[in-house]
Amino acid sequence: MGGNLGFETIQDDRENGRFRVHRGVFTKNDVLERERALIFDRCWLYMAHVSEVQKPGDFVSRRVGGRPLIFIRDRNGKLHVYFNSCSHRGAMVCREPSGRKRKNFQCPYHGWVFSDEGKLIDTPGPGAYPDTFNNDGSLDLQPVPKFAEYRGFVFVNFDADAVSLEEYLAGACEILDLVASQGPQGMEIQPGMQEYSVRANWKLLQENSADAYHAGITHSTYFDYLGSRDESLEGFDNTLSFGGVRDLGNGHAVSESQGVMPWGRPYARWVPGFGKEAKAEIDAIAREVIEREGVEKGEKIVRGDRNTLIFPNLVINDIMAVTVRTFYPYKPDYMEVNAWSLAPIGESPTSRERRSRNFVEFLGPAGFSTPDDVEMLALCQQGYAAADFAPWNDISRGVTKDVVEKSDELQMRIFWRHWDKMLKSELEERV
Amino acid sequence: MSDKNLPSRQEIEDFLIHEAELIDDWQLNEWAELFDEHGEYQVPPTDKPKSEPEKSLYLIYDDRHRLSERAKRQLKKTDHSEFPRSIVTHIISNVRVKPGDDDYFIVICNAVVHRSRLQQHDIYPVRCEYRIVRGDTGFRIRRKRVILGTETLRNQGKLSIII
Repeated sequence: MGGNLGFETIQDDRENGRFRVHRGVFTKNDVLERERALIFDRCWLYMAHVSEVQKPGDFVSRRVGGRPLIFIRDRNGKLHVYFNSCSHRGAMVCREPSGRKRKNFQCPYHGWVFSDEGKLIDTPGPGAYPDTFNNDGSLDLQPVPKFAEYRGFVFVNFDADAVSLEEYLAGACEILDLVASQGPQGMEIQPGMQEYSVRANWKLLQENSADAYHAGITHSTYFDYLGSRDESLEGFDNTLSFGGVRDLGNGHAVSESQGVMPWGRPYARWVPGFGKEAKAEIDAIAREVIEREGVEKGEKIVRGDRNTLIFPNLVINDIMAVTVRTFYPYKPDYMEVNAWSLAPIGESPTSRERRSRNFVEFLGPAGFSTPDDVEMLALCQQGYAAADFAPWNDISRGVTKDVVEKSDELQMRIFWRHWDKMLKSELEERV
Repeated sequence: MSDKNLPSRQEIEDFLIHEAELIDDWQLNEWAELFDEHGEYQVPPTDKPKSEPEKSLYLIYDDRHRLSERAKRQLKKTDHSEFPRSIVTHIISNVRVKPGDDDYFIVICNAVVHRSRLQQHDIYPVRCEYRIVRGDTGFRIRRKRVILGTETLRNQGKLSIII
C-alpha cells in the first residue's frame, strides 16, 4: 500500500527555503484510500467529550473515521465504545444521535437485543439457535479496538497495536490540560452541535484552522465588526506578526500568543465590547484561575489564544471561546464537519451568555467568519482542477526565519511532514 | 396583546412579504431597520431546535447591534461567502397570528428559502417565529427566530444569507 504514489507529494527544500505541496493530494481518490488505511485507521481520532455521557444510560452515536459508533455509559457507570452495526445482518441498532437512560439497543430489523454493555441478550423466537450460539462473544456488538480518555477528551483507535493515547498526543497534552483547567469543576460540551460540510479536501481545513496569515484578509469584515463595537482594535496588527508556533510532536502543532488578540475571552479577558458591567465578573474569573493554577499556567489560560492542530483531524481553538472541531473526508472534495463549544461546568448564566454570543460572533456555519473560510476552501478545491498545469501549493512562509510568528506557516509544514511520512509507510510499519 | 387587538392575517402577510422582498432584493440595511431598538435575530442549532439560547449554543444569536452589523457585512465585497451575491428567493406560507405578551403579538410562518450561487443551489425550509410590536410607523420586529427545517447543515454547508 505504501511507498510512492507516482507523483511527488511534497517538496521540502530547506536549503533554498521552499516548501511545496502537490495539489494532487487534494483531488486523487487513491490518496484518500491511502489516508483511510494509513492515517485514519491508525491515528487516535476524537470521538466525544466525556461530559456528553454524564449519567448511566447516556449515549451518543456518531460516525468517527467514517464508521458508525456508539459511545455509552452503562448502568454501572462504565464507558464503552462499540460499532453501531447489528451482529446479525449489520443494520445500525441505534438511530438517535444521543439519548438518556438507555438500557439496551434493539435492532429494528429482526429484533436482536443488545445490552448497554454491547452483549447480545435476546434473539426473538425460541429454539432457533443452539445454546452455545454466542459463547465466544462474536455476536455481541463489536467493541472498537481501542478507546481512551485524556482530561475528558475521548478518542478511539482502529489499530489494536497503536501506542497509548498519551504517548500519541505527546506535547498536545499540555494544550488539552490548559483547556481542561479553565473551569474549577471541569469542562462540558454545550448543547447545540454544529453539523456542516465543506466542498473541499479535509486537509485544507486542518491548514485553515490555525492559519493566522489569512485572518486580516479573509476575515476583514469580522475585524470591521469588532471595530464597530469597541476600541480593542486600536494598535492591533492584523497581519498577526507576533506570537509563535510550536511543534507538539506526531504532527500536532499550536499557533499561540498571549494577551494580544483583540477579541474578549469569557475565561477571562475583558474587552469593552463585553460592557462595563461585565468587567468585575471577568476579572474575578481570571483571579480564580490564577490562584488555582498558579501564575504561569493561569496567565496562559486566561490571556492566551491558542489554535491547536491535533493530527490528523482535530482542532482545539481556544480563542473567543473554545471550539472542538473534527472532520472526515467522504470524498476527496467533500468533508463533513462537527463542531462544539467546550465550556466550564457550573459557569454563571451571565458568563455562559457572553460565551455563547462570543462564540457564534466568529465561529460556526452562520458566524461572521466560518462561512468565509468555507468559501475559501471551496475556491481552493475548484482551483485544483487546474493542477495539471498549476501543480504546487506554496507553504514556505517563514521557512528561513529564526523566530517563527503566528502568521508563518510552520504549523502547516509540521502537519505535512508527518502526513507524508504516514502516507508513504507500509501497513505493517508504525511511524 | 389580546385577541381583539390582533392584526389580521392579511395585514401580517403584507408585512412578511415586505420583509422577504427586502432580503431577496439585498436591501439589508432596510431589513435591519424593521427591528425595533430591542430587536433580536436568532437561529437555534439544528440538533436542539426547540431549546432556548440560555441552554444551547445557537447558530445565530444577534442583538440589535449585531444584526445591523450583519446586514452591513453582507453588503460588502469582502463578505466573501456572499460575493458575488446569491440569488435569494423567499416563499412564505402557513401564516398564523397569535396573542403574545402585553406589548407584542406572535406570528408564526413557514418559509422555503432558495439560494443560488456559483453553480450551487441550496434550499432552506424554515419555520419563523416572530414577536412583533406596533410602532408609530407600522409593525416592528422585536424578535425573529428562524428554526431550520433540516436535520443538519450538511447539504448547504453554511448559512451565509439572511434567512
